[in-house]
Amino acid sequence: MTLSVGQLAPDFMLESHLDKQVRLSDYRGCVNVVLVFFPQAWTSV
Amino acid sequence: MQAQVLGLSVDSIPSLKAWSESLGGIGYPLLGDFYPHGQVARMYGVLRPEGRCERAIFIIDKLGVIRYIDVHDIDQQPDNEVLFGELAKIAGVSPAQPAMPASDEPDADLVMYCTPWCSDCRKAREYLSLRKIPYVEVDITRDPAAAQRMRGWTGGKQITPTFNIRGKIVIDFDKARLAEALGIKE
Repeated sequence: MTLSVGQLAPDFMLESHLDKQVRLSDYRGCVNVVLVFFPQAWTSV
Repeated sequence: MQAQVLGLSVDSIPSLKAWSESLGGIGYPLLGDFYPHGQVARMYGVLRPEGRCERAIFIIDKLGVIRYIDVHDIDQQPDNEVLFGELAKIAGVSPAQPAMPASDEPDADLVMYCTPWCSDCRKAREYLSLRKIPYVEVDITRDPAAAQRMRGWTGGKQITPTFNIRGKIVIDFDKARLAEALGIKE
């Protein structure tokens, strides 16, 4: 599946390293979200 | 413009925590798309066949609509520090980028090695200002040579603040030891 600009972002809920569950839709109506996927921790070390 | 940055990888939470610590603490949430493995990455079409995700940035507006998509090839930008620099810029914190030329130890009676986000560094600044003790501050996130010097004193760890008082090293904001090294009364 490929997403494109203008589509609704698929919602998800995941655990974060700050010990909080984060649900994308919780930000709706509040702030813009910059969602950054990165391949793997430690890869630059 | 206010924005919430969310980092996302297929790493486990313990791995992300350890990684964040190694970088001096990442203030925005790093999400572990770990189990079921890569589920969210797959939903966004950025999961690679070998199970990692592409480097990709999605900007989602307040209505939940995707406004910007940038997908890099995994090999195109092999340095996570670059990504973090960009992220940091967006998030409005000082980027951990080696932008400054290598520095020598400042010629000062008290040099404090710190990071912009460390709370003990903030307390140390207040402590020193209150006692009118002059000091020179070195931001190790902008000065890799200084970070290297600090790690030489701390046994390789990133501990801030670390003080150099004309060769006497005080690791962490330890008021008693700092006062002793400065020759002042606590």
